[in-house]
Amino acid sequence: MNKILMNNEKNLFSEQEKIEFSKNDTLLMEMDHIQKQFFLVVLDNVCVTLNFLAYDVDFSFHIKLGKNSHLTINALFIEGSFHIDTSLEGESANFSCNYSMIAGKDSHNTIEVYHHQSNTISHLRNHGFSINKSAIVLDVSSTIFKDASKCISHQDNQIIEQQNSLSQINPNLYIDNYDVDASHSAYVGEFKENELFYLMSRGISMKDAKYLLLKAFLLGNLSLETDMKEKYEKKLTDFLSKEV
Amino acid sequence: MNFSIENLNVNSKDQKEILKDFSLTVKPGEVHVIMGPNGTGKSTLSKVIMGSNDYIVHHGDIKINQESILSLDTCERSRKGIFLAMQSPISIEGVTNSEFLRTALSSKQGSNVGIYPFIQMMETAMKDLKMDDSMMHRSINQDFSGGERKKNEILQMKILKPNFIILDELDSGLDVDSLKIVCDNIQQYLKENPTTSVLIITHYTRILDYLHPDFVHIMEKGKIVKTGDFTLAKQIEKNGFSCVIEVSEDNVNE
Ligand SMILES: Nc1ncnc2c1ncn2[C@@H]1O[C@H](COP(=O)(O)OP(=O)(O)OP(=O)(O)O)[C@@H](O)[C@H]1O
Ligand SMILES: [Mg+2]
Repeated sequence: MNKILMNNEKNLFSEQEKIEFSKNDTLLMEMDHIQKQFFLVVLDNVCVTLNFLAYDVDFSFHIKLGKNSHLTINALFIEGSFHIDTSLEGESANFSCNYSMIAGKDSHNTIEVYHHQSNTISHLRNHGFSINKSAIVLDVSSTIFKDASKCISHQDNQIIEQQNSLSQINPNLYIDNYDVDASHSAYVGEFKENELFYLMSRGISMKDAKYLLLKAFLLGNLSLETDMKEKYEKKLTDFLSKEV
Repeated sequence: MNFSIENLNVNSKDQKEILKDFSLTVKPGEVHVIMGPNGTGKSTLSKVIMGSNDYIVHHGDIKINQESILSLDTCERSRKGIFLAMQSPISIEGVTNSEFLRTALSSKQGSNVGIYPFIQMMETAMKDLKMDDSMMHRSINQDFSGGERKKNEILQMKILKPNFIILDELDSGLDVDSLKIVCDNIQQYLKENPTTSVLIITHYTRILDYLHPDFVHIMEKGKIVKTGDFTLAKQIEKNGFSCVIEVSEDNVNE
């Protein structure tokens, strides 16, 4: 797997802001304190997984997917914000966006997908955790154009907050074709009482129970291999230990 | 442990009166059974003992060895040795059984349990219960069948080693063979831990063929209305609650 590190001093990608994938690849991008805009193209029949581990990053991503291509994004953002728009330009292009974010400051995110062609698929899973009273906003929209039939487009959006915050989810489906399979769901609320009760009934403290649920919520949302999961978990634990 | 409930009155948050003047004393090593019609408050009782926030205790007390536990939260009650095998165990996506139980055991022991001894302990316990090894690494109860969830409760019991066990309809969802396996495990546990007491909530006597009760209580409308032995349970199974409850209501009115 290729690895790209980016921060203020070191920016390997400073010139090259457009990435084109012409063969299958898995990439880890670790980013720290930067503001960045990227263009990405996945060519026909290519399968790519992008793992993002970002700390205090303001990131915009413009993506085009070719015919039969497959892109999976597993992004954990700690603070910062994420803007992504993806155009499914080739038939049967398949896009999975697994985005988890945890923020102690306000954070505005936009996730947009455009189905231009038939048989295209998108799954958007956005999970946010608001620390203290920070407001996380998720603007999520899926658009299916008139000529794109037999598309599948699903959104699962959730924000967990500790206290009433001003967090909100704005899920949108714009569909201009009759023959589609589409859905969206949105949940903003606290940890589920019955889950906390079950864990605590086995002797686990409230704090540890919440940590287990938080980890499941943020990391379980991403489809990561074990070693990668450990890396993400470490980043999350380091951050939380400083927060508490 | 000496466990007692004294004149407990409990409402739901929306002010529905569920337990009314409920009292019960369980001594070390005793097996008690509560039977009663649907909706009479049996599961509520079990959750209130465990410290659920869904209910408000507005009168009475729950004590372990003469000390009130009402001010303790759920995890502290568990660490005191109370274990509730729930009627409908929920699933929790993303938290694996092993991670969950290792955290629980570490909390109870007050120090981190090493992975290797823990896995060994789990493997042995799962083998005893004829559970598949893979369940260790699956999310808690996620996609488990009804019976598998019940077995998973008893797995947790075996690992956490409580001394007051509440079994809320353990027998529902378990097939005949699984019920035997699970009860054999509980029996074995009680043999090794003879001061452990059990409170069994059930609608059927089959489970009582394995776990022989010292007392059988009939609960109706939030309180115990009659107490007897195993024969009372047999009588209820045969004839229903109606005769027992009518008689006791007369007694109450006197
Ligand atoms: N949190 C709650 N809020 C409101 N009502 C509740 C709550 N929990 C229980 N109840 C009500 O209290 C009554 C007792 O419920 P409970 O689950 O304790 O019955 P049970 O005796 O366990 O019944 P079963 O034999 O069917 O399991 C029921 O009428 C139920 O609807
Ligand atoms: Mg019940």
